[in-house]
Amino acid sequence: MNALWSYCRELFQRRRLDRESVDELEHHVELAVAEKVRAGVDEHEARRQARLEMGSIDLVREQLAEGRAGFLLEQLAREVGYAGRVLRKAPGPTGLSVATIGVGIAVSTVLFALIDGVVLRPLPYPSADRLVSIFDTNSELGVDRAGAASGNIDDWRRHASSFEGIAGYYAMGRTLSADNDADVVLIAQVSTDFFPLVRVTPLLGRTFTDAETLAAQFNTANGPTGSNPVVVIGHDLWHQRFGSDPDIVDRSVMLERQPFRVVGVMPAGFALPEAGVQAWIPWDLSGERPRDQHYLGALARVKPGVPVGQAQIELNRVAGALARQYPDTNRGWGVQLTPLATAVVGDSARVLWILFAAVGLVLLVACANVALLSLMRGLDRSVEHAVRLALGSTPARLLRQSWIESLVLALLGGGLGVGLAAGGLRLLPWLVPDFPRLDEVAMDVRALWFALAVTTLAALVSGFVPAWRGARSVRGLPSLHGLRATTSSARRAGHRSGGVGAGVAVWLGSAGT
Amino acid sequence: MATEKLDLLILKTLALDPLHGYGISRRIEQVSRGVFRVTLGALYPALQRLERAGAIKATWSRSENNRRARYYTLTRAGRQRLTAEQQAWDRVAEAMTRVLQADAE
Repeated sequence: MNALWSYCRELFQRRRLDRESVDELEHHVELAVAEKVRAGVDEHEARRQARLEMGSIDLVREQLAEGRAGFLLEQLAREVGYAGRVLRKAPGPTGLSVATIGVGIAVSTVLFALIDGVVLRPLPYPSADRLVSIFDTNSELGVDRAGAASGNIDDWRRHASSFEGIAGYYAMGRTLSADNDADVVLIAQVSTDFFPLVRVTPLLGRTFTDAETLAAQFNTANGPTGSNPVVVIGHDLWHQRFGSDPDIVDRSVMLERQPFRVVGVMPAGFALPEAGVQAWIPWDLSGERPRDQHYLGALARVKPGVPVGQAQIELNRVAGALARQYPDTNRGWGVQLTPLATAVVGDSARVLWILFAAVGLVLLVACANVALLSLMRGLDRSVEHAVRLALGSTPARLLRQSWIESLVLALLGGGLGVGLAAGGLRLLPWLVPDFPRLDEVAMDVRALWFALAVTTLAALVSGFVPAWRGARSVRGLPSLHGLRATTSSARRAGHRSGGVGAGVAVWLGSAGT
Repeated sequence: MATEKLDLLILKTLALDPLHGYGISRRIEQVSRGVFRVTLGALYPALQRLERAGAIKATWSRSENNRRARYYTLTRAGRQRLTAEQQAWDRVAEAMTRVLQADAE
């Protein structure tokens, strides 16, 4: 408790403590001088002796300040302030550097947010890593990805033991009308296993009962038929068309001019089996159905502990048995299991990674440019460095100062970059409307951490060259002879600005591709 | 002077009564008959160190020339530390003496 108190005091009353120690040290010298004077020494001489014997007050004062808590912090604050003044003196290069780093960080943060939301993060469903899409394949016919046939799905369900459930679905646009207002919405007709296997509970009401599924006779050509048909609607539809009506359950909506009773509402973000589906109706897939029409989507949940590869082997065995049983329709047909996340994201993942790599390069070039700009500024700093060395600064301090300048630049750039990235992410749905999972992409904490990490990295990379060069010039410039050398070194700056030009050209080139 | 030795000297000096910085350095110089001269650069960082460690406590009051001065007092923890360090020092000094005299024989 006491230690904490004195720590806080040292942290927040630095100036007062410093004054006190000066007071104390001066008092000490006074007493020493007074004693010498009493012994008969002339006062002027006594002062000289005391100073010689006891050393400099200022040095001790600094020593005491260094011993106090928060000294490093104070020094850092001072150096950051100094860096700010230095950077403000050259607004052009500083602005250019900040803008360069800012754009680099913005672009890489946007891409990170995209990759994070689209590729890295698991789909927002319970144990989503166990969900797979099933496609039909036929090497004899050269088909590597086709939809499932409605007649086979029920056999798969009954004979393959690696799955908790297999559901067939078919999505289509259908006219939904309610309150004299009609819209085309994407509807999925889903078989018995669908809602149990996705394990998402409805926000309101319930999903389908087995009886409702068995009663559903939905004919894709003629639209829904059957007695007392039911529908589950999506959150967005509920929100936009029905004003989030809490009493929506048991209300009736018209699908293709036939009344359907709403039994449930799914929560926001539920985008299965396909993005954009806003209503689900049951579909009975039992009984004899065509085995040669490959247009169904198939979604399955692999049992825990069963590898997806093993599930695929088993299902292929079932498909083989079906091929022997129904050679006319099923010969040559096998299955391919794809993790749902891969199926949803598709080729976008590869594109994103390639873009990410490209953007990383852009950022690197941006850092190189900033380093070159700092170097150009560094040219007219050699005199200042020499002066500071002569005044008692150390090469290590000059190096640190150089790093801190880069850090301040990078932080400014990072702030700009985060702002740009947040704006850019809002524009994304408008720029690439058909991108999968885009609604899950946002400037969130993870993206902010990423931006911070990239900023730090940018500071390190862009600060390395100037610091290193600074170290060399410090060694080569121990005196003030550099004062006269400034004009000639300014002339030598020519080839460096050429380097900057080349860097900018590379940057623009890579940004343009 | 090694810091532990200086710390021990300061603690011992303050064991008798509270003193300000100058008083401590004078006392050490006098008692050691001028062998130990404590500079500002050694004394005040040592006092800061001891204060942080809780061995001494500083308070402001009037000095003999009627100026505000910081007086240092030994705390209970400081007293314990003094005893411990003095014993350790005695052992070392005794051992040193024994070894050096054995060498001389």
